[in-house]
Amino acid sequence: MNALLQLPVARLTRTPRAWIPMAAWSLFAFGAAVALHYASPSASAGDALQTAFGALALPLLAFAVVGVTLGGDGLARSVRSVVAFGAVPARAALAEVLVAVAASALLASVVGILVATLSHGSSDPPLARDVLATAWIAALGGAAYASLFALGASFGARGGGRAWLLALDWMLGASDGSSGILTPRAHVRSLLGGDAVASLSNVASAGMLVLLAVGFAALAVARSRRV
Amino acid sequence: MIDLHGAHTRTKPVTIPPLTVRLGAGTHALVGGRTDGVAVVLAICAGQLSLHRGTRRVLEGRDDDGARAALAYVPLDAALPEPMRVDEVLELAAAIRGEKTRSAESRLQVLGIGALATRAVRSLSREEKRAVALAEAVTSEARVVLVDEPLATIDSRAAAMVTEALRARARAGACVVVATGSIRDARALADDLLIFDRGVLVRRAPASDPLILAGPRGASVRVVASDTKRLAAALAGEASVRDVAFEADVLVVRGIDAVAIAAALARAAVRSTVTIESLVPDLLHDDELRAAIAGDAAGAYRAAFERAQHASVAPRVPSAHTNGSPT
Repeated sequence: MNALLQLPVARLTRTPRAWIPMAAWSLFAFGAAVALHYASPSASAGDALQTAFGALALPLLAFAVVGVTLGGDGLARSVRSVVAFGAVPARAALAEVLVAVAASALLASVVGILVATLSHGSSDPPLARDVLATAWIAALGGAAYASLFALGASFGARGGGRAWLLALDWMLGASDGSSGILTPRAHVRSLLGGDAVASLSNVASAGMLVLLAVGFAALAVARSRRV
Repeated sequence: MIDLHGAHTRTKPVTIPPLTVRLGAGTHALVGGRTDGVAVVLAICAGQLSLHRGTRRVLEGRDDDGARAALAYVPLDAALPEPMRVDEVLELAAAIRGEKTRSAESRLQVLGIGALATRAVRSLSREEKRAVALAEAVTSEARVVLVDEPLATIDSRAAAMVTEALRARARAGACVVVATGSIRDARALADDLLIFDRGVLVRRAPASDPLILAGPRGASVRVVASDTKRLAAALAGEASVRDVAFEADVLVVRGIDAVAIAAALARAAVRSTVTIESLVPDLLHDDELRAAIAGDAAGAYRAAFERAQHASVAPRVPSAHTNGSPT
Protein backbone atom coordinates (compact mmCIF):
# COMPACT_ATOMS: atom_id res chain seq x y z
CA MET A 1 0.00 0.00 0.00
CA ASN A 2 2.88 2.36 0.82
CA ALA A 3 4.21 2.01 -2.72
CA LEU A 4 0.82 2.89 -4.13
CA LEU A 5 0.73 6.16 -2.18
CA GLN A 6 3.86 7.36 -4.01
CA LEU A 7 2.12 8.21 -7.26
CA PRO A 8 -0.69 10.45 -5.88
CA VAL A 9 1.77 12.12 -3.50
CA ALA A 10 4.16 12.77 -6.40
CA ARG A 11 1.30 14.25 -8.42
CA LEU A 12 0.42 16.60 -5.58
CA THR A 13 3.94 17.69 -4.76
CA ARG A 14 5.52 17.79 -8.22
CA THR A 15 2.90 19.51 -10.31
CA PRO A 16 3.43 23.23 -9.57
CA ARG A 17 1.01 24.26 -12.31
CA ALA A 18 -1.75 22.46 -10.45
CA TRP A 19 -1.12 24.48 -7.31
CA ILE A 20 -2.42 27.61 -9.02
CA PRO A 21 -6.16 26.92 -8.50
CA MET A 22 -5.50 25.91 -4.89
CA ALA A 23 -3.59 29.13 -4.28
CA ALA A 24 -6.26 31.15 -6.08
CA TRP A 25 -9.15 29.78 -3.98
CA SER A 26 -7.15 30.20 -0.78
CA LEU A 27 -6.38 33.84 -1.65
CA PHE A 28 -10.03 34.37 -2.52
CA ALA A 29 -11.06 33.11 0.94
CA PHE A 30 -8.46 35.28 2.70
CA GLY A 31 -9.41 38.34 0.64
CA ALA A 32 -13.12 37.83 1.32
CA ALA A 33 -12.45 37.41 5.05
CA VAL A 34 -10.42 40.61 5.25
CA ALA A 35 -12.90 42.56 3.12
CA LEU A 36 -15.85 41.41 5.25
CA HIS A 37 -14.00 42.23 8.44
CA TYR A 38 -13.16 45.79 7.42
CA ALA A 39 -16.40 46.52 5.56
CA SER A 40 -18.55 45.54 8.51
CA PRO A 41 -16.77 45.60 11.88
CA SER A 42 -19.80 44.00 13.49
CA ALA A 43 -19.54 40.95 11.25
CA SER A 44 -18.41 37.78 12.99
CA ALA A 45 -15.86 35.22 11.85
CA GLY A 46 -18.81 32.90 11.25
CA ASP A 47 -20.08 35.11 8.43
CA ALA A 48 -16.81 34.88 6.49
CA LEU A 49 -16.48 31.19 7.24
CA GLN A 50 -20.01 30.37 6.10
CA THR A 51 -20.04 32.46 2.94
CA ALA A 52 -16.65 32.82 1.30
CA PHE A 53 -14.97 29.81 2.85
CA GLY A 54 -17.62 27.15 3.49
CA ALA A 55 -19.80 27.79 0.47
CA LEU A 56 -17.15 28.58 -2.13
CA ALA A 57 -13.48 28.17 -1.26
CA LEU A 58 -13.77 24.84 0.59
CA PRO A 59 -15.53 22.84 -2.15
CA LEU A 60 -13.40 24.39 -4.88
CA LEU A 61 -10.18 23.70 -2.97
CA ALA A 62 -11.21 20.05 -2.56
CA PHE A 63 -12.19 19.97 -6.25
CA ALA A 64 -8.70 21.18 -7.22
CA VAL A 65 -6.94 18.79 -4.84
CA VAL A 66 -8.81 15.77 -6.22
CA GLY A 67 -8.07 16.89 -9.78
CA VAL A 68 -4.34 17.12 -9.09
CA THR A 69 -4.18 13.87 -7.13
CA LEU A 70 -5.82 11.97 -9.97
CA GLY A 71 -3.61 13.64 -12.58
CA GLY A 72 -6.61 15.39 -14.15
CA ASP A 73 -8.07 12.04 -15.16
CA GLY A 74 -10.93 9.80 -14.18
CA LEU A 75 -10.29 7.53 -11.21
CA ALA A 76 -9.97 4.38 -13.32
CA ARG A 77 -7.62 5.97 -15.85
CA SER A 78 -5.51 7.57 -13.16
CA VAL A 79 -4.46 4.18 -11.76
CA ARG A 80 -3.83 2.57 -15.16
CA SER A 81 -0.07 3.06 -14.99
CA VAL A 82 0.35 1.27 -11.67
CA VAL A 83 -2.20 -1.43 -12.54
CA ALA A 84 0.02 -2.35 -15.51
CA PHE A 85 2.77 -2.99 -12.93
CA GLY A 86 0.57 -5.51 -11.16
CA ALA A 87 -1.27 -3.30 -8.66
CA VAL A 88 -4.84 -4.24 -7.74
CA PRO A 89 -7.08 -1.51 -9.23
CA ALA A 90 -9.23 -1.08 -6.13
CA ARG A 91 -6.17 -0.80 -3.91
CA ALA A 92 -4.53 1.72 -6.24
CA ALA A 93 -7.77 3.72 -6.31
CA LEU A 94 -8.00 3.56 -2.51
CA ALA A 95 -4.45 4.96 -2.24
CA GLU A 96 -5.37 7.88 -4.50
CA VAL A 97 -8.61 8.59 -2.63
CA LEU A 98 -6.83 8.45 0.74
CA VAL A 99 -4.16 10.91 -0.41
CA ALA A 100 -6.81 13.23 -1.87
CA VAL A 101 -8.90 13.08 1.32
CA ALA A 102 -5.90 13.69 3.59
CA ALA A 103 -4.52 16.53 1.46
CA SER A 104 -7.91 18.15 1.11
CA ALA A 105 -8.59 17.91 4.86
CA LEU A 106 -5.18 19.38 5.67
CA LEU A 107 -5.40 22.22 3.18
CA ALA A 108 -8.99 23.05 4.15
CA SER A 109 -7.99 23.08 7.78
CA VAL A 110 -5.07 25.44 7.23
CA VAL A 111 -7.08 27.80 5.05
CA GLY A 112 -10.01 27.65 7.50
CA ILE A 113 -7.75 28.57 10.42
CA LEU A 114 -6.34 31.56 8.52
CA VAL A 115 -9.81 32.74 7.48
CA ALA A 116 -11.05 32.45 11.07
CA THR A 117 -8.04 34.42 12.29
CA LEU A 118 -8.33 37.14 9.66
CA SER A 119 -12.04 37.62 10.20
CA HIS A 120 -12.07 37.26 13.97
CA GLY A 121 -14.26 39.95 15.48
CA SER A 122 -14.58 41.36 18.95
CA SER A 123 -17.93 39.65 19.54
CA ASP A 124 -16.57 36.23 18.57
CA PRO A 125 -15.56 33.55 21.08
CA PRO A 126 -11.88 33.48 22.09
CA LEU A 127 -9.64 33.12 19.05
CA ALA A 128 -8.05 29.84 20.16
CA ARG A 129 -11.44 28.16 20.56
CA ASP A 130 -12.69 29.56 17.29
CA VAL A 131 -9.59 28.43 15.42
CA LEU A 132 -9.72 24.96 16.91
CA ALA A 133 -13.38 24.51 16.03
CA THR A 134 -12.81 25.84 12.51
CA ALA A 135 -9.86 23.49 12.03
CA TRP A 136 -11.78 20.29 12.64
CA ILE A 137 -14.91 21.43 10.82
CA ALA A 138 -12.86 22.44 7.77
CA ALA A 139 -10.90 19.19 7.92
CA LEU A 140 -14.11 17.15 8.03
CA GLY A 141 -15.64 19.21 5.25
CA GLY A 142 -12.50 18.93 3.12
CA ALA A 143 -12.43 15.17 3.60
CA ALA A 144 -16.13 14.77 2.75
CA TYR A 145 -15.79 16.95 -0.35
CA ALA A 146 -12.67 15.07 -1.53
CA SER A 147 -14.52 11.76 -1.19
CA LEU A 148 -17.51 13.20 -3.03
CA PHE A 149 -15.34 14.39 -5.92
CA ALA A 150 -13.39 11.12 -5.98
CA LEU A 151 -16.72 9.38 -6.47
CA GLY A 152 -17.54 11.88 -9.20
CA ALA A 153 -14.20 11.14 -10.86
CA SER A 154 -15.23 7.51 -11.21
CA PHE A 155 -17.84 8.66 -13.77
CA GLY A 156 -16.66 9.55 -17.25
CA ALA A 157 -13.33 8.69 -18.85
CA ARG A 158 -11.80 11.98 -17.70
CA GLY A 159 -13.69 12.10 -14.43
CA GLY A 160 -16.26 14.61 -15.62
CA GLY A 161 -18.64 13.42 -12.90
CA ARG A 162 -16.73 15.61 -10.45
CA ALA A 163 -18.28 18.74 -11.92
CA TRP A 164 -21.76 17.21 -11.84
CA LEU A 165 -21.46 16.35 -8.17
CA LEU A 166 -20.12 19.85 -7.41
CA ALA A 167 -23.21 21.33 -9.06
CA LEU A 168 -25.49 18.87 -7.26
CA ASP A 169 -23.89 19.74 -3.92
CA TRP A 170 -24.47 23.43 -4.55
CA MET A 171 -28.08 22.92 -5.54
CA LEU A 172 -29.18 20.41 -2.90
CA GLY A 173 -26.90 21.72 -0.16
CA ALA A 174 -28.44 25.20 -0.31
CA SER A 175 -31.52 23.83 1.42
CA ASP A 176 -31.70 23.19 5.15
CA GLY A 177 -34.33 20.53 4.53
CA SER A 178 -33.83 16.80 4.12
CA SER A 179 -32.65 17.23 0.52
CA GLY A 180 -29.34 18.56 1.85
CA ILE A 181 -28.70 15.68 4.19
CA LEU A 182 -26.37 13.90 1.75
CA THR A 183 -24.41 17.00 0.80
CA PRO A 184 -21.26 18.19 2.58
CA ARG A 185 -22.28 21.81 1.94
CA ALA A 186 -25.35 21.73 4.19
CA HIS A 187 -23.50 20.08 7.08
CA VAL A 188 -20.45 22.37 6.83
CA ARG A 189 -22.75 25.40 6.84
CA SER A 190 -24.58 24.07 9.85
CA LEU A 191 -21.35 23.41 11.78
CA LEU A 192 -19.97 26.85 10.92
CA GLY A 193 -22.94 28.51 12.60
CA GLY A 194 -25.61 28.38 9.89
CA ASP A 195 -29.03 26.75 9.88
CA ALA A 196 -29.18 23.13 10.96
CA VAL A 197 -29.82 20.52 8.28
CA ALA A 198 -33.12 18.71 8.76
CA SER A 199 -32.99 19.77 12.44
CA LEU A 200 -29.87 17.67 13.02
CA SER A 201 -27.63 18.65 15.93
CA ASN A 202 -24.02 19.70 15.37
CA VAL A 203 -22.81 16.34 16.59
CA ALA A 204 -25.12 14.59 14.15
CA SER A 205 -23.91 16.84 11.30
CA ALA A 206 -20.29 16.09 12.17
CA GLY A 207 -21.14 12.40 12.22
CA MET A 208 -22.85 12.77 8.85
CA LEU A 209 -19.72 14.37 7.38
CA VAL A 210 -17.65 11.42 8.59
CA LEU A 211 -20.21 9.02 7.13
CA LEU A 212 -20.29 10.89 3.83
CA ALA A 213 -16.47 10.89 3.64
CA VAL A 214 -16.28 7.15 4.26
CA GLY A 215 -19.32 6.29 2.14
CA PHE A 216 -18.36 8.30 -0.94
CA ALA A 217 -14.77 6.99 -0.74
CA ALA A 218 -15.99 3.40 -0.47
CA LEU A 219 -18.29 3.87 -3.46
CA ALA A 220 -15.48 5.42 -5.50
CA VAL A 221 -13.14 2.52 -4.73
CA ALA A 222 -15.87 -0.03 -5.43
CA ARG A 223 -16.43 1.51 -8.85
CA SER A 224 -12.72 1.14 -9.63
CA ARG A 225 -12.37 -2.56 -8.93
CA ARG A 226 -11.71 -3.22 -12.60
CA VAL A 227 -9.68 -0.99 -14.85
CA MET B 1 -0.84 -20.22 -16.68
CA ILE B 2 -3.72 -18.47 -18.45
CA ASP B 3 -7.00 -20.30 -18.79
CA LEU B 4 -9.88 -18.74 -20.68
CA HIS B 5 -13.02 -20.83 -20.62
CA GLY B 6 -15.94 -19.70 -22.74
CA ALA B 7 -14.62 -16.14 -22.37
CA HIS B 8 -16.97 -13.82 -24.20
CA THR B 9 -16.99 -10.06 -24.34
CA ARG B 10 -18.46 -7.32 -26.50
CA THR B 11 -16.36 -4.27 -27.10
CA LYS B 12 -15.37 -1.92 -29.88
CA PRO B 13 -14.21 -2.76 -32.50
CA VAL B 14 -14.93 -6.46 -32.11
CA THR B 15 -16.99 -9.01 -30.24
CA ILE B 16 -15.11 -12.00 -28.92
CA PRO B 17 -17.39 -15.05 -29.09
CA PRO B 18 -16.93 -17.67 -26.36
CA LEU B 19 -13.21 -18.47 -26.41
CA THR B 20 -11.63 -21.40 -24.66
CA VAL B 21 -7.86 -21.47 -24.69
CA ARG B 22 -5.04 -22.43 -22.37
CA LEU B 23 -1.66 -20.72 -22.53
CA GLY B 24 1.16 -22.29 -20.57
CA ALA B 25 4.81 -21.36 -20.06
CA GLY B 26 6.51 -20.37 -23.32
CA THR B 27 5.91 -17.84 -26.05
CA HIS B 28 2.49 -17.37 -27.64
CA ALA B 29 1.42 -14.94 -30.33
CA LEU B 30 -2.15 -13.81 -30.89
CA VAL B 31 -2.09 -12.98 -34.59
CA GLY B 32 -4.54 -10.66 -36.28
CA GLY B 33 -5.40 -7.05 -36.90
CA ARG B 34 -7.22 -4.62 -34.63
CA THR B 35 -10.60 -5.78 -35.96
CA ASP B 36 -9.64 -9.41 -35.35
CA GLY B 37 -9.67 -8.68 -31.63
CA VAL B 38 -6.19 -9.80 -30.61
CA ALA B 39 -5.63 -6.71 -28.44
CA VAL B 40 -9.02 -7.37 -26.83
CA VAL B 41 -8.07 -10.98 -26.04
CA LEU B 42 -4.77 -9.73 -24.58
CA ALA B 43 -6.65 -7.22 -22.40
CA ILE B 44 -8.94 -10.04 -21.25
CA CYS B 45 -5.87 -12.09 -20.29
CA ALA B 46 -4.59 -9.04 -18.37
CA GLY B 47 -7.88 -8.71 -16.51
CA GLN B 48 -8.43 -5.26 -17.98
CA LEU B 49 -11.75 -6.12 -19.60
CA SER B 50 -14.82 -7.54 -17.98
CA LEU B 51 -16.20 -10.76 -19.39
CA HIS B 52 -19.87 -10.94 -20.30
CA ARG B 53 -19.67 -14.72 -19.93
CA GLY B 54 -17.08 -17.35 -19.15
CA THR B 55 -14.11 -17.38 -16.84
CA ARG B 56 -10.52 -16.23 -16.80
CA ARG B 57 -7.99 -17.88 -14.54
CA VAL B 58 -4.39 -16.79 -14.29
CA LEU B 59 -1.65 -18.78 -12.56
CA GLU B 60 -3.73 -21.85 -11.76
CA GLY B 61 -6.53 -20.01 -10.04
CA ARG B 62 -4.43 -17.98 -7.62
CA ASP B 63 -6.40 -15.22 -6.01
CA ASP B 64 -6.78 -12.20 -8.22
CA ASP B 65 -4.49 -9.96 -6.16
CA GLY B 66 -1.60 -12.42 -6.24
CA ALA B 67 -2.13 -13.08 -9.92
CA ARG B 68 -2.04 -9.38 -10.73
CA ALA B 69 1.33 -8.84 -9.07
CA ALA B 70 2.74 -11.69 -11.14
CA LEU B 71 1.43 -10.19 -14.36
CA ALA B 72 3.06 -7.55 -16.54
CA TYR B 73 0.94 -5.94 -19.24
CA VAL B 74 2.18 -3.54 -21.89
CA PRO B 75 -0.68 -2.19 -24.03
CA LEU B 76 -0.03 -0.26 -27.22
CA ASP B 77 -0.64 3.03 -25.38
CA ALA B 78 1.40 2.15 -22.30
CA ALA B 79 0.98 4.74 -19.55
CA LEU B 80 3.71 5.60 -17.05
CA PRO B 81 3.27 7.66 -13.86
CA GLU B 82 3.77 11.17 -15.24
CA PRO B 83 5.26 13.12 -12.33
CA MET B 84 8.04 10.61 -11.64
CA ARG B 85 11.50 9.93 -13.05
CA VAL B 86 12.08 6.73 -15.00
CA ASP B 87 14.27 5.19 -12.27
CA GLU B 88 11.58 5.99 -9.69
CA VAL B 89 8.99 4.35 -11.90
CA LEU B 90 11.05 1.14 -12.03
CA GLU B 91 11.48 1.25 -8.24
CA LEU B 92 7.74 1.74 -7.83
CA ALA B 93 7.00 -1.17 -10.14
CA ALA B 94 9.42 -3.41 -8.21
CA ALA B 95 7.80 -2.37 -4.92
CA ILE B 96 4.31 -3.14 -6.24
CA ARG B 97 5.44 -6.56 -7.46
CA GLY B 98 7.31 -7.24 -4.22
CA GLU B 99 10.62 -7.57 -6.06
CA LYS B 100 14.07 -6.42 -5.01
CA THR B 101 15.06 -3.03 -6.37
CA ARG B 102 17.72 -3.29 -9.06
CA SER B 103 19.64 -0.67 -10.97
CA ALA B 104 17.26 1.10 -13.33
CA GLU B 105 19.98 1.61 -15.90
CA SER B 106 20.83 -2.08 -16.10
CA ARG B 107 17.14 -2.97 -16.48
CA LEU B 108 16.66 -0.43 -19.25
CA GLN B 109 19.86 -1.48 -20.97
CA VAL B 110 18.17 -4.75 -21.93
CA LEU B 111 16.56 -2.67 -24.67
CA GLY B 112 19.51 -0.32 -25.06
CA ILE B 113 17.76 2.61 -23.37
CA GLY B 114 19.83 2.90 -20.19
CA ALA B 115 20.31 6.61 -20.83
CA LEU B 116 16.63 7.23 -20.07
CA ALA B 117 17.04 6.19 -16.42
CA THR B 118 17.24 9.71 -15.00
CA ARG B 119 14.78 11.35 -17.37
CA ALA B 120 11.43 12.63 -16.16
CA VAL B 121 8.56 10.57 -17.54
CA ARG B 122 6.77 13.66 -18.84
CA SER B 123 9.82 14.49 -20.97
CA LEU B 124 9.67 11.15 -22.80
CA SER B 125 8.14 10.64 -26.22
CA ARG B 126 5.31 8.13 -26.64
CA GLU B 127 7.75 5.60 -28.10
CA GLU B 128 10.22 6.09 -25.25
CA LYS B 129 7.48 5.59 -22.67
CA ARG B 130 6.49 2.38 -24.38
CA ALA B 131 10.10 1.21 -24.49
CA VAL B 132 10.45 1.88 -20.74
CA ALA B 133 7.23 -0.05 -20.03
CA LEU B 134 8.49 -2.88 -22.21
CA ALA B 135 11.87 -2.93 -20.46
CA GLU B 136 10.11 -3.00 -17.10
CA ALA B 137 7.93 -5.92 -18.17
CA VAL B 138 10.72 -8.06 -19.60
CA THR B 139 13.09 -7.44 -16.70
CA SER B 140 10.47 -7.97 -14.01
CA GLU B 141 9.94 -11.29 -12.30
CA ALA B 142 6.35 -11.40 -13.56
CA ARG B 143 5.35 -14.94 -14.48
CA VAL B 144 2.96 -13.74 -17.13
CA VAL B 145 4.12 -11.09 -19.61
CA LEU B 146 1.53 -9.67 -22.00
CA VAL B 147 2.65 -7.26 -24.73
CA ASP B 148 0.61 -5.67 -27.48
CA GLU B 149 2.62 -5.21 -30.71
CA PRO B 150 6.06 -5.52 -29.09
CA LEU B 151 7.93 -4.70 -32.28
CA ALA B 152 5.82 -1.72 -33.28
CA THR B 153 7.42 1.74 -33.23
CA ILE B 154 10.95 0.43 -32.63
CA ASP B 155 13.93 0.11 -34.94
CA SER B 156 15.32 -3.21 -36.15
CA ARG B 157 18.19 -3.25 -33.62
CA ALA B 158 15.77 -2.74 -30.74
CA ALA B 159 13.43 -5.33 -32.29
CA ALA B 160 16.14 -7.97 -31.99
CA MET B 161 16.70 -6.99 -28.35
CA VAL B 162 12.99 -7.11 -27.54
CA THR B 163 12.65 -10.50 -29.21
CA GLU B 164 15.59 -11.88 -27.26
CA ALA B 165 14.38 -10.37 -23.99
CA LEU B 166 10.88 -11.84 -24.38
CA ARG B 167 12.26 -15.24 -25.33
CA ALA B 168 14.62 -15.10 -22.34
CA ARG B 169 11.61 -14.53 -20.05
CA ALA B 170 9.94 -17.59 -21.56
CA ARG B 171 13.10 -19.66 -21.09
CA ALA B 172 13.04 -18.59 -17.44
CA GLY B 173 9.59 -20.20 -17.15
CA ALA B 174 7.29 -17.26 -17.85
CA CYS B 175 4.21 -17.31 -20.04
CA VAL B 176 4.83 -14.65 -22.69
CA VAL B 177 1.86 -13.62 -24.82
CA VAL B 178 2.16 -11.06 -27.60
CA ALA B 179 -0.51 -9.65 -29.89
CA THR B 180 0.58 -8.69 -33.36
CA GLY B 181 -0.81 -8.04 -36.81
CA SER B 182 2.30 -9.42 -38.47
CA ILE B 183 2.86 -13.13 -38.94
CA ARG B 184 6.52 -12.42 -39.54
CA ASP B 185 6.79 -10.73 -36.11
CA ALA B 186 4.72 -13.50 -34.56
CA ARG B 187 7.06 -16.18 -35.90
CA ALA B 188 10.09 -14.25 -34.63
CA LEU B 189 8.58 -13.73 -31.19
CA ALA B 190 6.68 -16.91 -30.44
CA ASP B 191 6.63 -20.66 -30.86
CA ASP B 192 2.87 -20.99 -30.56
CA LEU B 193 0.70 -19.00 -32.95
CA LEU B 194 -3.02 -18.39 -32.48
CA ILE B 195 -4.60 -16.87 -35.58
CA PHE B 196 -7.73 -14.78 -35.07
CA ASP B 197 -10.23 -13.73 -37.70
CA ARG B 198 -12.87 -11.17 -36.63
CA GLY B 199 -12.70 -12.27 -33.01
CA VAL B 200 -12.71 -16.02 -33.72
CA LEU B 201 -9.70 -18.22 -33.05
CA VAL B 202 -9.44 -19.94 -36.43
CA ARG B 203 -6.15 -21.76 -36.13
CA ARG B 204 -3.54 -22.66 -33.56
CA ALA B 205 -0.25 -24.05 -34.78
CA PRO B 206 3.44 -24.03 -34.00
CA ALA B 207 5.41 -21.23 -35.64
CA SER B 208 7.40 -23.86 -37.53
CA ASP B 209 4.26 -25.06 -39.36
CA PRO B 210 4.77 -24.10 -43.01
CA LEU B 211 1.00 -23.82 -43.49
CA ILE B 212 0.65 -21.20 -40.81
CA LEU B 213 0.84 -18.45 -43.37
CA ALA B 214 -2.29 -19.61 -45.12
CA GLY B 215 -5.43 -17.73 -44.27
CA PRO B 216 -8.37 -19.62 -42.82
CA ARG B 217 -9.69 -20.39 -46.29
CA GLY B 218 -6.34 -20.61 -48.04
CA ALA B 219 -4.63 -17.66 -49.63
CA SER B 220 -5.03 -15.75 -52.84
CA VAL B 221 -3.26 -12.79 -54.36
CA ARG B 222 -4.72 -10.35 -56.89
CA VAL B 223 -2.25 -9.11 -59.43
CA VAL B 224 -2.43 -6.27 -61.93
CA ALA B 225 0.38 -6.61 -64.47
CA SER B 226 1.36 -5.31 -67.87
CA ASP B 227 0.56 -8.73 -69.37
CA THR B 228 -1.40 -10.98 -67.03
CA LYS B 229 -1.68 -13.84 -69.56
CA ARG B 230 2.07 -14.03 -70.03
CA LEU B 231 2.53 -13.82 -66.23
CA ALA B 232 -0.02 -16.64 -65.72
CA ALA B 233 1.83 -18.78 -68.22
CA ALA B 234 5.10 -18.11 -66.43
CA LEU B 235 3.54 -19.33 -63.18
CA ALA B 236 3.15 -22.83 -64.61
CA GLY B 237 5.26 -25.24 -62.68
CA GLU B 238 5.32 -23.14 -59.51
CA ALA B 239 4.50 -25.63 -56.74
CA SER B 240 2.99 -23.00 -54.44
CA VAL B 241 0.36 -21.96 -57.01
CA ARG B 242 -2.77 -24.09 -56.90
CA ASP B 243 -4.67 -22.32 -59.68
CA VAL B 244 -4.97 -19.03 -61.49
CA ALA B 245 -8.07 -17.21 -62.69
CA PHE B 246 -8.84 -13.99 -64.49
CA GLU B 247 -11.30 -11.42 -63.17
CA ALA B 248 -11.46 -8.75 -65.87
CA ASP B 249 -7.83 -7.57 -66.10
CA VAL B 250 -6.90 -8.89 -62.67
CA LEU B 251 -5.05 -12.16 -62.28
CA VAL B 252 -6.13 -14.06 -59.16
CA VAL B 253 -3.49 -16.53 -57.99
CA ARG B 254 -4.57 -19.08 -55.39
CA GLY B 255 -2.58 -21.37 -53.15
CA ILE B 256 -2.03 -22.18 -49.52
CA ASP B 257 0.79 -19.86 -48.61
CA ALA B 258 0.45 -16.25 -49.76
CA VAL B 259 4.10 -15.55 -49.08
CA ALA B 260 5.09 -18.44 -51.34
CA ILE B 261 2.64 -17.16 -53.98
CA ALA B 262 4.24 -13.72 -53.80
CA ALA B 263 7.67 -15.25 -54.21
CA ALA B 264 6.43 -17.34 -57.16
CA LEU B 265 4.97 -14.20 -58.76
CA ALA B 266 8.29 -12.45 -58.33
CA ARG B 267 10.12 -15.26 -60.06
CA ALA B 268 7.50 -15.47 -62.82
CA ALA B 269 7.68 -11.70 -63.42
CA VAL B 270 11.42 -11.92 -63.81
CA ARG B 271 11.20 -14.90 -66.18
CA SER B 272 8.47 -13.35 -68.33
CA THR B 273 9.76 -9.75 -68.04
CA VAL B 274 6.23 -8.68 -67.14
CA THR B 275 5.84 -5.57 -65.00
CA ILE B 276 3.69 -6.10 -61.93
CA GLU B 277 1.69 -2.95 -61.24
CA SER B 278 0.08 -4.00 -57.99
CA LEU B 279 -0.15 -7.04 -55.82
CA VAL B 280 -2.88 -7.34 -53.20
CA PRO B 281 -3.29 -10.35 -50.91
CA ASP B 282 -6.90 -11.34 -50.30
CA LEU B 283 -6.48 -12.73 -46.84
CA LEU B 284 -3.07 -11.96 -45.53
CA HIS B 285 -1.99 -8.73 -43.94
CA ASP B 286 0.08 -6.31 -45.96
CA ASP B 287 2.98 -6.80 -43.57
CA GLU B 288 3.30 -10.42 -44.61
CA LEU B 289 3.37 -9.59 -48.25
CA ARG B 290 5.97 -6.95 -47.61
CA ALA B 291 7.97 -9.49 -45.64
CA ALA B 292 7.81 -11.86 -48.59
CA ILE B 293 8.99 -9.19 -50.98
CA ALA B 294 11.74 -8.13 -48.59
CA GLY B 295 12.72 -11.74 -47.98
CA ASP B 296 12.68 -14.48 -50.62
CA ALA B 297 11.93 -12.30 -53.57
CA ALA B 298 14.41 -9.51 -52.87
CA GLY B 299 17.37 -11.52 -54.03
CA ALA B 300 15.59 -12.48 -57.22
CA TYR B 301 14.70 -8.87 -57.94
CA ARG B 302 18.16 -7.62 -57.23
CA ALA B 303 19.60 -10.23 -59.58
CA ALA B 304 16.97 -9.41 -62.21
CA PHE B 305 17.67 -5.71 -61.88
CA GLU B 306 21.36 -6.28 -62.45
CA ARG B 307 20.64 -8.51 -65.44
CA ALA B 308 18.20 -5.95 -66.79
CA GLN B 309 20.73 -3.19 -66.49
CA HIS B 310 22.98 -5.17 -68.79
CA ALA B 311 20.08 -5.70 -71.15
CA SER B 312 18.87 -2.08 -70.67
CA VAL B 313 15.40 -3.33 -69.60
CA ALA B 314 14.77 -2.69 -65.93
CA PRO B 315 11.89 -4.68 -64.41
CA ARG B 316 9.80 -2.80 -61.87
CA VAL B 317 9.51 -4.07 -58.36
CA PRO B 318 5.88 -4.91 -57.67
CA SER B 319 4.21 -2.52 -55.31
CA ALA B 320 1.99 -3.75 -52.54
CA HIS B 321 -0.72 -1.55 -51.06
CA THR B 322 0.79 -1.06 -47.66
CA ASN B 323 -0.69 0.64 -44.67
CA GLY B 324 2.47 2.04 -43.16
CA SER B 325 2.66 -0.67 -40.55
CA PRO B 326 5.92 -0.61 -38.56
CA THR B 327 7.07 -3.98 -39.81
